[in-house]
Amino acid sequence: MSSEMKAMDMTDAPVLRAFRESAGIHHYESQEAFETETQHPQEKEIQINDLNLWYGNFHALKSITLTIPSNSVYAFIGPSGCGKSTFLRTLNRMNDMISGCRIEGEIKIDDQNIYDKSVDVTDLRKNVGMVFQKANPFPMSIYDNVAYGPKIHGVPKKELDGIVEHALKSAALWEEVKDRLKESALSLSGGQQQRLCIARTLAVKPEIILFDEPCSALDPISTGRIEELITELKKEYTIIIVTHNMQQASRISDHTAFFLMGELIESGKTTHIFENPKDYRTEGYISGRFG
Amino acid sequence: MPRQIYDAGLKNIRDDIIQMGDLAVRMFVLYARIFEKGEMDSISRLDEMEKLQDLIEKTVEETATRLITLQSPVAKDTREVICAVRIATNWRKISSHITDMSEFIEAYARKIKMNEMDAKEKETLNCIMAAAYEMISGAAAAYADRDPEKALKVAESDNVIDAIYSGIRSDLTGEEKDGKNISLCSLVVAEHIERIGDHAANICEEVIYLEKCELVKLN
Repeated sequence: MSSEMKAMDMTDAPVLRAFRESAGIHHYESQEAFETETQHPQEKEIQINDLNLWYGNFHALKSITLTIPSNSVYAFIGPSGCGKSTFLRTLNRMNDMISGCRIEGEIKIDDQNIYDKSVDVTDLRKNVGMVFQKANPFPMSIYDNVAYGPKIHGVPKKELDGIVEHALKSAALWEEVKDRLKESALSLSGGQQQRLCIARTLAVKPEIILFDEPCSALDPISTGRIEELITELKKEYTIIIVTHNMQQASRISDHTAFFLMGELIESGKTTHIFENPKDYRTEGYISGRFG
Repeated sequence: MPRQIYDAGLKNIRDDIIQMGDLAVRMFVLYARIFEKGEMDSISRLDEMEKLQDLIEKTVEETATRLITLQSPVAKDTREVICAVRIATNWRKISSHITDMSEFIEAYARKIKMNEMDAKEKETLNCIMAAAYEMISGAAAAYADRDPEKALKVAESDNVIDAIYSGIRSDLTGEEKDGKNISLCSLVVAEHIERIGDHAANICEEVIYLEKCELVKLN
Protein backbone atom coordinates (compact mmCIF):
# COMPACT_ATOMS: atom_id res chain seq x y z
CA MET A 1 0.00 0.00 0.00
CA SER A 2 1.47 3.34 -1.01
CA SER A 3 1.67 6.22 1.42
CA GLU A 4 -0.42 8.24 -1.02
CA MET A 5 -3.31 5.82 -0.79
CA LYS A 6 -3.00 5.51 2.96
CA ALA A 7 -3.12 9.28 3.23
CA MET A 8 -6.44 9.23 1.45
CA ASP A 9 -7.68 6.78 4.06
CA MET A 10 -9.73 4.79 1.57
CA THR A 11 -8.82 1.24 2.38
CA ASP A 12 -10.17 1.16 5.91
CA ALA A 13 -13.51 2.68 5.10
CA PRO A 14 -16.28 1.08 7.23
CA VAL A 15 -18.49 0.49 4.19
CA LEU A 16 -15.69 -1.37 2.44
CA ARG A 17 -15.05 -3.53 5.50
CA ALA A 18 -18.73 -4.40 5.65
CA PHE A 19 -18.72 -5.39 2.00
CA ARG A 20 -15.58 -7.45 2.50
CA GLU A 21 -17.15 -9.34 5.38
CA SER A 22 -20.31 -10.06 3.43
CA ALA A 23 -18.44 -11.14 0.30
CA GLY A 24 -18.45 -14.93 -0.08
CA ILE A 25 -15.50 -17.05 -1.22
CA HIS A 26 -15.35 -17.10 -4.97
CA HIS A 27 -16.15 -20.35 -6.72
CA TYR A 28 -12.94 -22.00 -7.79
CA GLU A 29 -13.05 -24.49 -10.66
CA SER A 30 -10.01 -26.66 -11.35
CA GLN A 31 -9.38 -29.09 -14.21
CA GLU A 32 -9.18 -32.21 -12.06
CA ALA A 33 -11.00 -34.31 -14.63
CA PHE A 34 -7.98 -34.17 -16.89
CA GLU A 35 -5.73 -35.46 -14.10
CA THR A 36 -8.18 -38.20 -13.18
CA GLU A 37 -8.29 -39.41 -16.74
CA THR A 38 -4.60 -40.24 -16.66
CA GLN A 39 -5.05 -42.43 -13.62
CA HIS A 40 -6.90 -44.97 -15.76
CA PRO A 41 -4.66 -46.20 -18.54
CA GLN A 42 -5.99 -48.05 -21.55
CA GLU A 43 -5.89 -51.79 -22.00
CA LYS A 44 -2.44 -53.07 -21.03
CA GLU A 45 -0.59 -54.31 -24.08
CA ILE A 46 3.08 -54.21 -23.09
CA GLN A 47 3.99 -54.42 -19.41
CA ILE A 48 7.58 -53.80 -18.37
CA ASN A 49 8.36 -54.73 -14.78
CA ASP A 50 11.56 -53.76 -12.96
CA LEU A 51 13.72 -54.11 -16.05
CA ASN A 52 17.49 -53.81 -15.58
CA LEU A 53 20.11 -54.11 -18.31
CA TRP A 54 23.91 -54.21 -18.11
CA TYR A 55 26.53 -53.95 -20.85
CA GLY A 56 29.33 -55.70 -18.96
CA ASN A 57 29.63 -53.67 -15.75
CA PHE A 58 27.77 -50.67 -17.12
CA HIS A 59 24.25 -50.47 -15.73
CA ALA A 60 22.44 -49.09 -18.81
CA LEU A 61 18.79 -49.48 -17.72
CA LYS A 62 17.79 -49.12 -14.09
CA SER A 63 14.57 -50.63 -12.73
CA ILE A 64 12.32 -49.59 -15.58
CA THR A 65 8.62 -50.18 -14.96
CA LEU A 66 6.19 -48.98 -17.61
CA THR A 67 2.91 -49.90 -19.25
CA ILE A 68 2.52 -49.26 -22.96
CA PRO A 69 -1.14 -49.21 -24.07
CA SER A 70 -2.20 -50.84 -27.31
CA ASN A 71 -3.12 -48.87 -30.45
CA SER A 72 -1.31 -45.76 -29.40
CA VAL A 73 1.97 -43.99 -30.12
CA TYR A 74 4.45 -44.00 -27.23
CA ALA A 75 7.48 -41.71 -27.58
CA PHE A 76 10.77 -42.27 -25.74
CA ILE A 77 12.78 -39.09 -25.29
CA GLY A 78 16.00 -38.22 -23.53
CA PRO A 79 19.57 -37.06 -24.21
CA SER A 80 22.04 -39.24 -26.12
CA GLY A 81 23.21 -42.19 -24.03
CA CYS A 82 20.20 -42.09 -21.70
CA GLY A 83 19.15 -45.64 -22.60
CA LYS A 84 16.05 -45.01 -24.71
CA SER A 85 17.29 -46.91 -27.79
CA THR A 86 18.63 -49.69 -25.56
CA PHE A 87 15.20 -49.91 -23.96
CA LEU A 88 13.51 -49.93 -27.38
CA ARG A 89 15.71 -52.84 -28.47
CA THR A 90 14.76 -54.87 -25.40
CA LEU A 91 11.20 -54.96 -26.71
CA ASN A 92 12.12 -57.32 -29.56
CA ARG A 93 15.27 -58.74 -27.95
CA MET A 94 17.66 -57.05 -30.34
CA ASN A 95 20.10 -56.72 -27.42
CA ASP A 96 20.44 -60.52 -27.31
CA MET A 97 23.01 -60.21 -30.08
CA ILE A 98 25.28 -57.91 -28.05
CA SER A 99 27.93 -59.80 -26.12
CA GLY A 100 28.15 -58.93 -22.43
CA CYS A 101 24.55 -57.75 -22.35
CA ARG A 102 22.62 -59.02 -19.33
CA ILE A 103 18.95 -58.43 -18.60
CA GLU A 104 16.86 -58.84 -15.44
CA GLY A 105 13.15 -58.21 -14.97
CA GLU A 106 10.34 -58.95 -17.38
CA ILE A 107 8.62 -57.61 -20.44
CA LYS A 108 5.16 -59.01 -21.00
CA ILE A 109 3.37 -58.73 -24.31
CA ASP A 110 -0.18 -59.99 -23.90
CA ASP A 111 0.84 -61.57 -20.58
CA GLN A 112 3.72 -63.54 -22.14
CA ASN A 113 7.20 -62.69 -20.83
CA ILE A 114 9.24 -62.27 -24.01
CA TYR A 115 12.42 -63.26 -22.12
CA ASP A 116 10.90 -66.62 -21.20
CA LYS A 117 12.97 -69.55 -22.52
CA SER A 118 9.98 -70.91 -24.41
CA VAL A 119 9.70 -67.79 -26.59
CA ASP A 120 10.76 -68.14 -30.24
CA VAL A 121 12.78 -64.98 -30.96
CA THR A 122 12.01 -65.16 -34.70
CA ASP A 123 8.30 -65.18 -33.97
CA LEU A 124 8.79 -62.35 -31.50
CA ARG A 125 10.56 -60.18 -34.10
CA LYS A 126 7.82 -60.95 -36.62
CA ASN A 127 5.31 -59.72 -34.07
CA VAL A 128 7.43 -56.73 -33.02
CA GLY A 129 8.74 -55.07 -36.18
CA MET A 130 11.42 -52.40 -36.25
CA VAL A 131 12.21 -49.40 -38.45
CA PHE A 132 15.66 -47.92 -38.07
CA GLN A 133 17.14 -44.43 -38.15
CA LYS A 134 18.62 -44.86 -41.61
CA ALA A 135 16.47 -46.42 -44.31
CA ASN A 136 18.02 -49.79 -45.15
CA PRO A 137 16.28 -51.26 -48.22
CA PHE A 138 17.73 -54.49 -49.57
CA PRO A 139 19.58 -54.14 -52.90
CA MET A 140 16.69 -55.64 -54.82
CA SER A 141 13.44 -54.46 -56.43
CA ILE A 142 10.74 -52.52 -54.59
CA TYR A 143 8.45 -55.54 -54.90
CA ASP A 144 11.02 -57.99 -53.59
CA ASN A 145 11.86 -55.79 -50.62
CA VAL A 146 8.26 -56.00 -49.42
CA ALA A 147 7.74 -59.65 -50.42
CA TYR A 148 10.97 -60.81 -48.75
CA GLY A 149 9.57 -61.19 -45.23
CA PRO A 150 6.36 -63.04 -46.15
CA LYS A 151 8.38 -65.31 -48.49
CA ILE A 152 10.77 -66.48 -45.78
CA HIS A 153 7.80 -67.04 -43.48
CA GLY A 154 6.41 -69.45 -46.09
CA VAL A 155 3.60 -67.41 -47.61
CA PRO A 156 2.55 -68.96 -50.99
CA LYS A 157 3.71 -67.04 -54.05
CA LYS A 158 0.14 -66.46 -55.29
CA GLU A 159 -0.64 -64.43 -52.15
CA LEU A 160 2.41 -62.18 -52.40
CA ASP A 161 0.95 -59.65 -54.90
CA GLY A 162 -1.92 -58.86 -52.56
CA ILE A 163 0.36 -58.60 -49.52
CA VAL A 164 2.81 -56.28 -51.31
CA GLU A 165 0.03 -54.01 -52.57
CA HIS A 166 -1.64 -53.86 -49.16
CA ALA A 167 1.64 -53.14 -47.35
CA LEU A 168 2.63 -50.42 -49.81
CA LYS A 169 -0.83 -48.84 -49.54
CA SER A 170 -0.64 -48.94 -45.74
CA ALA A 171 2.76 -47.26 -45.92
CA ALA A 172 1.31 -44.54 -48.19
CA LEU A 173 3.74 -45.47 -50.96
CA TRP A 174 1.59 -47.43 -53.42
CA GLU A 175 0.54 -44.49 -55.62
CA GLU A 176 4.16 -43.43 -56.07
CA VAL A 177 5.60 -46.87 -56.97
CA LYS A 178 2.76 -48.99 -58.38
CA ASP A 179 4.09 -48.58 -61.94
CA ARG A 180 7.72 -49.27 -61.06
CA LEU A 181 7.60 -52.21 -58.68
CA LYS A 182 10.42 -54.01 -60.49
CA GLU A 183 12.80 -51.05 -60.21
CA SER A 184 15.57 -51.09 -57.64
CA ALA A 185 14.54 -49.89 -54.19
CA LEU A 186 17.76 -47.90 -54.13
CA SER A 187 16.35 -45.62 -56.85
CA LEU A 188 13.79 -44.23 -54.38
CA SER A 189 14.29 -41.00 -52.44
CA GLY A 190 15.28 -41.12 -48.76
CA GLY A 191 11.71 -40.54 -47.59
CA GLN A 192 10.36 -43.16 -50.01
CA GLN A 193 13.01 -45.66 -48.89
CA GLN A 194 11.97 -45.15 -45.25
CA ARG A 195 8.31 -45.72 -46.16
CA LEU A 196 9.40 -48.83 -48.11
CA CYS A 197 11.07 -50.10 -44.93
CA ILE A 198 7.82 -49.47 -43.08
CA ALA A 199 5.94 -51.38 -45.80
CA ARG A 200 8.46 -54.22 -45.45
CA THR A 201 7.77 -54.30 -41.72
CA LEU A 202 3.99 -54.23 -42.24
CA ALA A 203 4.13 -57.07 -44.77
CA VAL A 204 4.81 -59.66 -42.04
CA LYS A 205 1.79 -58.39 -40.06
CA PRO A 206 3.30 -57.35 -36.76
CA GLU A 207 1.23 -56.09 -33.83
CA ILE A 208 3.87 -53.70 -32.54
CA ILE A 209 6.22 -51.46 -34.52
CA LEU A 210 9.37 -49.93 -33.05
CA PHE A 211 10.71 -46.78 -34.69
CA ASP A 212 14.26 -45.74 -33.82
CA GLU A 213 14.56 -42.09 -34.90
CA PRO A 214 12.87 -42.81 -38.24
CA CYS A 215 12.94 -39.22 -39.50
CA SER A 216 16.33 -38.01 -38.37
CA ALA A 217 17.76 -38.23 -41.91
CA LEU A 218 14.68 -36.90 -43.70
CA ASP A 219 13.63 -33.46 -44.94
CA PRO A 220 10.52 -31.75 -43.43
CA ILE A 221 8.18 -32.95 -46.21
CA SER A 222 9.26 -36.59 -45.91
CA THR A 223 9.16 -36.25 -42.12
CA GLY A 224 5.60 -34.96 -42.34
CA ARG A 225 4.58 -37.96 -44.43
CA ILE A 226 6.12 -40.44 -42.01
CA GLU A 227 4.47 -38.68 -39.06
CA GLU A 228 1.11 -38.76 -40.85
CA LEU A 229 1.65 -42.43 -41.58
CA ILE A 230 2.50 -43.24 -37.96
CA THR A 231 -0.67 -41.49 -36.80
CA GLU A 232 -2.65 -43.58 -39.31
CA LEU A 233 -0.90 -46.84 -38.37
CA LYS A 234 -1.74 -46.59 -34.67
CA LYS A 235 -5.33 -47.51 -35.51
CA GLU A 236 -4.08 -51.04 -36.17
CA TYR A 237 -0.68 -51.22 -34.48
CA THR A 238 1.00 -50.28 -31.23
CA ILE A 239 3.74 -47.81 -32.09
CA ILE A 240 6.82 -47.00 -30.03
CA ILE A 241 9.15 -44.31 -31.27
CA VAL A 242 12.51 -43.02 -30.12
CA THR A 243 13.05 -39.43 -31.18
CA HIS A 244 15.33 -36.52 -30.45
CA ASN A 245 12.82 -34.15 -31.99
CA MET A 246 10.67 -32.74 -29.19
CA GLN A 247 8.16 -31.24 -31.60
CA GLN A 248 7.81 -34.60 -33.32
CA ALA A 249 7.17 -36.35 -30.01
CA SER A 250 4.57 -33.76 -29.04
CA ARG A 251 2.92 -33.87 -32.48
CA ILE A 252 2.46 -37.57 -32.96
CA SER A 253 2.59 -39.40 -29.63
CA ASP A 254 -0.20 -40.11 -27.16
CA HIS A 255 2.23 -40.92 -24.36
CA THR A 256 5.80 -39.93 -23.66
CA ALA A 257 8.51 -41.34 -21.42
CA PHE A 258 11.58 -39.32 -20.47
CA PHE A 259 14.83 -41.20 -19.78
CA LEU A 260 17.99 -39.90 -18.16
CA MET A 261 21.15 -41.88 -17.39
CA GLY A 262 19.34 -45.21 -17.65
CA GLU A 263 16.44 -44.17 -15.44
CA LEU A 264 12.84 -43.59 -16.42
CA ILE A 265 12.33 -40.13 -14.91
CA GLU A 266 8.75 -39.44 -15.93
CA SER A 267 6.08 -40.91 -18.16
CA GLY A 268 2.47 -40.12 -18.95
CA LYS A 269 0.20 -38.47 -21.44
CA THR A 270 2.14 -36.39 -23.92
CA THR A 271 0.01 -33.33 -23.16
CA HIS A 272 1.04 -33.62 -19.51
CA ILE A 273 4.71 -34.12 -20.22
CA PHE A 274 4.88 -31.14 -22.57
CA GLU A 275 2.46 -28.80 -20.81
CA ASN A 276 3.07 -29.48 -17.15
CA PRO A 277 5.85 -31.96 -16.39
CA LYS A 278 6.18 -32.90 -12.75
CA ASP A 279 9.94 -33.40 -12.66
CA TYR A 280 12.29 -30.44 -13.08
CA ARG A 281 14.66 -32.62 -15.12
CA THR A 282 11.92 -33.35 -17.66
CA GLU A 283 11.12 -29.66 -17.94
CA GLY A 284 14.81 -28.82 -18.28
CA TYR A 285 15.24 -31.34 -21.09
CA ILE A 286 12.14 -30.60 -23.16
CA SER A 287 12.79 -26.86 -22.95
CA GLY A 288 16.33 -27.44 -24.18
CA ARG A 289 18.07 -26.21 -21.05
CA PHE A 290 20.15 -29.36 -20.71
CA GLY A 291 20.87 -32.53 -22.61
CA MET B 1 24.55 -21.76 -20.00
CA PRO B 2 22.34 -23.19 -22.80
CA ARG B 3 19.58 -21.17 -24.47
CA GLN B 4 20.73 -17.75 -23.29
CA ILE B 5 18.74 -15.88 -25.96
CA TYR B 6 15.61 -17.88 -25.08
CA ASP B 7 15.96 -17.25 -21.35
CA ALA B 8 16.70 -13.57 -21.95
CA GLY B 9 13.49 -13.30 -24.03
CA LEU B 10 11.44 -14.89 -21.25
CA LYS B 11 13.00 -12.57 -18.67
CA ASN B 12 12.25 -9.53 -20.84
CA ILE B 13 8.62 -10.56 -21.13
CA ARG B 14 8.36 -11.05 -17.34
CA ASP B 15 10.01 -7.69 -16.64
CA ASP B 16 7.71 -5.95 -19.12
CA ILE B 17 4.60 -7.35 -17.42
CA ILE B 18 5.88 -6.31 -13.98
CA GLN B 19 6.52 -2.83 -15.37
CA MET B 20 2.98 -2.66 -16.82
CA GLY B 21 1.54 -3.63 -13.44
CA ASP B 22 3.63 -1.03 -11.67
CA LEU B 23 2.57 1.63 -14.19
CA ALA B 24 -1.10 0.76 -13.78
CA VAL B 25 -0.85 1.07 -10.00
CA ARG B 26 0.82 4.47 -10.32
CA MET B 27 -1.79 5.58 -12.86
CA PHE B 28 -4.56 4.67 -10.46
CA VAL B 29 -2.94 6.66 -7.65
CA LEU B 30 -2.70 9.67 -9.99
CA TYR B 31 -6.35 9.24 -10.90
CA ALA B 32 -7.26 9.13 -7.19
CA ARG B 33 -5.46 12.46 -6.70
CA ILE B 34 -7.34 13.96 -9.63
CA PHE B 35 -10.61 12.77 -8.14
CA GLU B 36 -9.86 13.65 -4.53
CA LYS B 37 -7.73 16.77 -4.81
CA GLY B 38 -8.61 18.06 -8.27
CA GLU B 39 -5.02 17.85 -9.55
CA MET B 40 -6.11 18.18 -13.18
CA ASP B 41 -2.54 18.84 -14.35
CA SER B 42 -1.87 15.14 -13.77
CA ILE B 43 -4.13 14.16 -16.69
CA SER B 44 -1.37 14.86 -19.23
CA ARG B 45 0.92 12.56 -17.23
CA LEU B 46 -1.73 9.85 -17.35
CA ASP B 47 -1.91 10.20 -21.14
CA GLU B 48 1.84 9.73 -21.37
CA MET B 49 1.71 6.69 -19.10
CA GLU B 50 -1.09 5.17 -21.16
CA LYS B 51 0.99 5.60 -24.32
CA LEU B 52 3.85 3.86 -22.54
CA GLN B 53 1.51 0.98 -21.63
CA ASP B 54 0.55 0.65 -25.32
CA LEU B 55 4.20 0.55 -26.26
CA ILE B 56 5.07 -2.11 -23.68
CA GLU B 57 2.07 -4.21 -24.74
CA LYS B 58 3.31 -4.14 -28.34
CA THR B 59 6.80 -5.09 -27.16
CA VAL B 60 5.38 -8.03 -25.22
CA GLU B 61 3.44 -9.18 -28.29
CA GLU B 62 6.51 -8.92 -30.51
CA THR B 63 8.72 -10.77 -28.04
CA ALA B 64 6.07 -13.47 -27.58
CA THR B 65 5.70 -13.94 -31.34
CA ARG B 66 9.46 -14.19 -31.74
CA LEU B 67 9.79 -16.70 -28.89
CA ILE B 68 7.00 -18.91 -30.25
CA THR B 69 8.34 -18.76 -33.81
CA LEU B 70 12.03 -19.22 -33.13
CA GLN B 71 12.37 -20.86 -29.72
CA SER B 72 9.43 -23.31 -29.51
CA PRO B 73 8.62 -22.86 -25.82
CA VAL B 74 7.13 -25.84 -23.97
CA ALA B 75 5.65 -26.60 -20.55
CA LYS B 76 5.72 -23.61 -18.19
CA ASP B 77 7.53 -21.51 -20.78
CA THR B 78 4.50 -21.82 -23.09
CA ARG B 79 2.25 -20.58 -20.32
CA GLU B 80 4.73 -17.80 -19.56
CA VAL B 81 4.44 -16.50 -23.11
CA ILE B 82 0.68 -16.96 -23.54
CA CYS B 83 -0.13 -15.48 -20.12
CA ALA B 84 2.15 -12.52 -20.75
CA VAL B 85 0.26 -11.57 -23.90
CA ARG B 86 -3.10 -11.89 -22.16
CA ILE B 87 -1.97 -10.06 -19.01
CA ALA B 88 -0.48 -7.24 -21.08
CA THR B 89 -3.85 -6.74 -22.78
CA ASN B 90 -5.58 -6.60 -19.40
CA TRP B 91 -3.09 -4.03 -18.02
CA ARG B 92 -3.50 -1.91 -21.13
CA LYS B 93 -7.29 -1.99 -20.79
CA ILE B 94 -7.09 -1.10 -17.08
CA SER B 95 -4.89 1.86 -17.97
CA SER B 96 -7.32 2.94 -20.64
CA HIS B 97 -10.20 2.90 -18.15
CA ILE B 98 -8.14 4.97 -15.70
CA THR B 99 -7.44 7.61 -18.36
CA ASP B 100 -11.08 7.66 -19.50
CA MET B 101 -12.26 8.12 -15.90
CA SER B 102 -9.84 10.98 -15.38
CA GLU B 103 -10.91 12.73 -18.56
CA PHE B 104 -14.52 12.37 -17.51
CA ILE B 105 -13.75 13.81 -14.07
CA GLU B 106 -12.01 16.78 -15.72
CA ALA B 107 -15.03 17.50 -17.94
CA TYR B 108 -17.47 16.95 -15.08
CA ALA B 109 -15.53 19.24 -12.76
CA ARG B 110 -15.98 22.12 -15.20
CA LYS B 111 -19.72 22.02 -14.50
CA ILE B 112 -19.89 20.88 -10.89
CA LYS B 113 -17.41 21.49 -8.11
CA MET B 114 -16.19 18.12 -6.89
CA ASN B 115 -15.94 19.35 -3.30
CA GLU B 116 -19.65 20.00 -3.38
CA MET B 117 -20.39 16.34 -4.06
CA ASP B 118 -22.70 14.71 -1.54
CA ALA B 119 -20.65 13.25 1.31
CA LYS B 120 -22.34 9.86 1.24
CA GLU B 121 -21.88 9.59 -2.52
CA LYS B 122 -18.23 10.47 -2.18
CA GLU B 123 -17.74 7.88 0.54
CA THR B 124 -19.28 5.20 -1.67
CA LEU B 125 -16.97 6.15 -4.53
CA ASN B 126 -13.98 6.11 -2.18
CA CYS B 127 -14.92 2.58 -1.16
CA ILE B 128 -15.15 1.24 -4.71
CA MET B 129 -11.91 3.01 -5.61
CA ALA B 130 -10.17 1.52 -2.60
CA ALA B 131 -11.32 -1.95 -3.61
CA ALA B 132 -10.08 -1.32 -7.16
CA TYR B 133 -6.72 -0.15 -5.87
CA GLU B 134 -6.48 -3.27 -3.76
CA MET B 135 -7.18 -5.44 -6.80
CA ILE B 136 -4.78 -3.65 -9.14
CA SER B 137 -1.88 -3.60 -6.68
CA GLY B 138 -2.70 -7.15 -5.53
CA ALA B 139 -2.78 -8.52 -9.09
CA ALA B 140 0.53 -6.84 -9.86
CA ALA B 141 2.08 -8.29 -6.70
CA ALA B 142 0.63 -11.77 -7.34
CA TYR B 143 2.29 -11.82 -10.77
CA ALA B 144 5.58 -10.41 -9.53
CA ASP B 145 5.67 -12.90 -6.63
CA ARG B 146 4.32 -15.81 -8.74
CA ASP B 147 1.80 -16.42 -5.98
CA PRO B 148 -1.44 -18.19 -7.03
CA GLU B 149 -2.84 -18.11 -3.49
CA LYS B 150 -2.45 -14.35 -3.39
CA ALA B 151 -4.08 -14.13 -6.84
CA LEU B 152 -7.07 -16.12 -5.61
CA LYS B 153 -7.46 -13.88 -2.58
CA VAL B 154 -7.11 -10.68 -4.60
CA ALA B 155 -9.82 -11.78 -7.04
CA GLU B 156 -12.29 -12.07 -4.18
CA SER B 157 -12.35 -8.24 -4.00
CA ASP B 158 -14.11 -8.24 -7.35
CA ASN B 159 -17.26 -9.24 -5.45
CA VAL B 160 -16.94 -6.06 -3.39
CA ILE B 161 -16.65 -3.90 -6.48
CA ASP B 162 -19.56 -5.62 -8.20
CA ALA B 163 -21.74 -5.16 -5.11
CA ILE B 164 -20.99 -1.44 -4.80
CA TYR B 165 -21.49 -0.94 -8.54
CA SER B 166 -24.84 -2.73 -8.45
CA GLY B 167 -25.85 -0.57 -5.48
CA ILE B 168 -24.99 2.66 -7.30
CA ARG B 169 -26.78 1.57 -10.45
CA SER B 170 -29.96 0.53 -8.68
CA ASP B 171 -29.91 3.74 -6.60
CA LEU B 172 -29.83 5.75 -9.81
CA THR B 173 -32.16 3.71 -11.97
CA GLY B 174 -34.34 1.75 -9.55
CA GLU B 175 -37.87 2.68 -8.59
CA GLU B 176 -36.87 3.56 -5.05
CA LYS B 177 -33.99 5.73 -6.13
CA ASP B 178 -32.62 8.46 -3.96
CA GLY B 179 -31.59 10.84 -6.72
CA LYS B 180 -30.24 13.41 -4.32
CA ASN B 181 -27.30 11.23 -3.33
CA ILE B 182 -26.30 9.63 -6.63
CA SER B 183 -25.02 11.53 -9.63
CA LEU B 184 -24.09 10.61 -13.18
CA CYS B 185 -20.46 10.99 -12.07
CA SER B 186 -20.81 8.07 -9.67
CA LEU B 187 -22.32 5.85 -12.31
CA VAL B 188 -19.62 6.60 -14.88
CA VAL B 189 -16.80 6.11 -12.36
CA ALA B 190 -18.34 2.94 -10.96
CA GLU B 191 -18.79 1.49 -14.47
CA HIS B 192 -15.13 2.04 -15.26
CA ILE B 193 -14.07 0.59 -11.91
CA GLU B 194 -16.30 -2.44 -12.39
CA ARG B 195 -14.48 -3.16 -15.67
CA ILE B 196 -11.10 -2.54 -13.99
CA GLY B 197 -12.05 -5.13 -11.36
CA ASP B 198 -12.89 -7.67 -14.07
CA HIS B 199 -9.55 -7.11 -15.83
CA ALA B 200 -7.66 -7.41 -12.54
CA ALA B 201 -9.50 -10.69 -11.83
CA ASN B 202 -8.51 -11.87 -15.32
CA ILE B 203 -4.87 -11.19 -14.44
CA CYS B 204 -5.29 -13.25 -11.26
CA GLU B 205 -6.69 -16.12 -13.35
CA GLU B 206 -3.59 -15.92 -15.54
CA VAL B 207 -1.28 -16.07 -12.51
CA ILE B 208 -3.02 -19.25 -11.33
CA TYR B 209 -2.80 -20.81 -14.81
CA LEU B 210 0.84 -19.79 -15.10
CA GLU B 211 1.86 -21.36 -11.81
CA LYS B 212 -0.54 -24.29 -11.43
CA CYS B 213 -1.54 -25.06 -15.03
CA GLU B 214 -5.19 -24.80 -13.97
CA LEU B 215 -7.77 -22.82 -15.88
CA VAL B 216 -10.05 -21.06 -13.41
CA LYS B 217 -12.84 -18.53 -13.74
CA LEU B 218 -12.73 -15.84 -11.06
CA ASN B 219 -15.29 -13.30 -12.25
